[in-house]
Amino acid sequence: MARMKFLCDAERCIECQACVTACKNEHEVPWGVNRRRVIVMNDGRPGEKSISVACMHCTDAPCAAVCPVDCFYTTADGIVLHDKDLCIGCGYCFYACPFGAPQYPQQTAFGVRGKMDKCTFCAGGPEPVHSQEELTKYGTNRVEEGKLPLCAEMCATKALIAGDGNVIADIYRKRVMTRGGRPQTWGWQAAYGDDI
Amino acid sequence: MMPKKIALSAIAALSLGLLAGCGDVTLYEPGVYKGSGDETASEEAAERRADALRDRAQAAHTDR
Amino acid sequence: MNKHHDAAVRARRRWRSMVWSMMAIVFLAMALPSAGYLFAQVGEPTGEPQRQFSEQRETNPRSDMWRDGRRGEGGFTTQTGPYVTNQLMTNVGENYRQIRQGPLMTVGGWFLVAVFLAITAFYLLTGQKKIDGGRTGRTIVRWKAYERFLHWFNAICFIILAITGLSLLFGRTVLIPIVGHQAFSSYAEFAYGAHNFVGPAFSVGVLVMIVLWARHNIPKKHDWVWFKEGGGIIGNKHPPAGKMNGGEKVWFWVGVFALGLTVIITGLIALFPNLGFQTREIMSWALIIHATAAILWMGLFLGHAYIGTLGTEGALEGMTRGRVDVAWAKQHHDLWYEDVVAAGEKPVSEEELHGRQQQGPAPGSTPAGERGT
Repeated sequence: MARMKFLCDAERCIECQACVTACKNEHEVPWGVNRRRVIVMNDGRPGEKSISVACMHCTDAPCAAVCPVDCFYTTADGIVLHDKDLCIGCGYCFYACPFGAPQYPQQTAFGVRGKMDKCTFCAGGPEPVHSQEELTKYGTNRVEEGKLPLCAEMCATKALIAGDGNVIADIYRKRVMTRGGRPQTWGWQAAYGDDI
Repeated sequence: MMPKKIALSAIAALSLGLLAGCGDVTLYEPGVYKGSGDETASEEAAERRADALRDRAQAAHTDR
Repeated sequence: MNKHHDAAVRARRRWRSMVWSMMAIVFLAMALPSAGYLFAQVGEPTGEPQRQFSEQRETNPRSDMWRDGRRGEGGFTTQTGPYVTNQLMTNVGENYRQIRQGPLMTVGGWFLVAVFLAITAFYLLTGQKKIDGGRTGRTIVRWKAYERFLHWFNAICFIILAITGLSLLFGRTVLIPIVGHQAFSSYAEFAYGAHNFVGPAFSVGVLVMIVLWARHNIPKKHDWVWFKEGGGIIGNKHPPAGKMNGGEKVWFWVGVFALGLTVIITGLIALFPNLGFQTREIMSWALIIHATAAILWMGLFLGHAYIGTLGTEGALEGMTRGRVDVAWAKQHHDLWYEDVVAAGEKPVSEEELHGRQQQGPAPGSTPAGERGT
């Protein structure tokens, strides 16, 4: 069974923001909601590195653990999805997530946030596949079409890779072997545990 | 005494109804998600798309 | 005599040897481990520079960067939005999860259950505390109308907030198994909204209560006697008490004042994320402290509610009608009763009160005879 994972190769990421733009455009994500963001460490200094961060689809997802209404579920291939009909917008998942992935359309007084929105690995949600409801609530469902997340597929330097964990680990291992240096599977330990 | 008992049981029934969202009761089993179903989350769905996604990863992420 | 002298000498010698051996132990304990320095000094190789591990680490900024990133050091991001963070990763959430799903839910939940069971057992064992010698039928004013309004306003808010708050914390464990996801979610959405809008109203009520009632709750010397006699809860003692007894003062200062202010402050932090100073760290700690203080408060509340209703005959009517029986006042708040009588208040019998109300503009209050608790 495939286990879907994201991997961002920090040696290749050039902070072009194409993944961010692709995600926003593909899923028509509203203003203020950022399913994916690029973070630059040591910005403007020697050794600057950037990483594209979104929901990592954790094995033991903290968001799912703290959700008071239990609205998260994991697909058989390891994609963490949630049901916006159940979500009450309490914000707990945002505080629990190590990657800052959960987003909300509002931030107003009296704790009104609206329904949580996050990266779906381009796998939609619990609505019928390719229905209008799924499109408006969760965005497009590329995985059901046999395609991988758009951010990764259109990454110009192939820094951001997504898909079956074995396949992308293999691709990354070949790269490291060719170019030398130490592997940096950023976030994998936190998201997928030690036994990866 | 009697009216008090009736009132109490009415309140109990009402609060049970409120708790249950006025009907449509789903019984929970541990580890089984019973929110609105997602057929794409099932083993079969993952199995079905696994090969396509694997090929896709090979095609999209390896250097050409 | 000689024998005594010998014994004294022996004792002195024993004492001296004890002191010296103690000093030797202390000295050697400090000196022997330090001897390692001597060996190091002697054995140090000359010529070759020593390896400086700290400097070596400094020469690898890349691993420093990843380590900082793992610890939650911020970077730069072009994205903007209220929930965008510039951290690659943070452990705040993991702590939040461990505390919330661990001690907070298990200890907190069982604490409330244990308090409830303890009170039930206490009631079954001792029963209601009756008014000694029965009611006299004559009553005096204990709480004025505005005070009763304030009390019940806060009480209703407290109960709503407690139920909705507990639903958000324990609903997934307790209610979802009964009602299922969809029903619980719609209830939880309502509970979340109710909690968030009743909360500020309750905050105002609690603050007013603290300001108005602090003067009744200043600790006095006789409260100490009250505590020593265990408040007279068990047995037939009647320790002295003013308007508020020792237990009520604890409920006021620990419950309403300390826990109340904690819950209000953390609640307002959690309620207004738009103020902008709340990082994820502040927010998750506010939620943890809020829930912990609230659960403790609920534990005290259960005791307060029991004593005020089922536990004591004649106590509840002081807060519902505002008048208490003279016998009850003498039994539970003797010093207060003396003060009130000294201040010129006269106990009034039911008939007299009824007659007075008949003449008044707003009749319709039930006579006390029908309101036995």
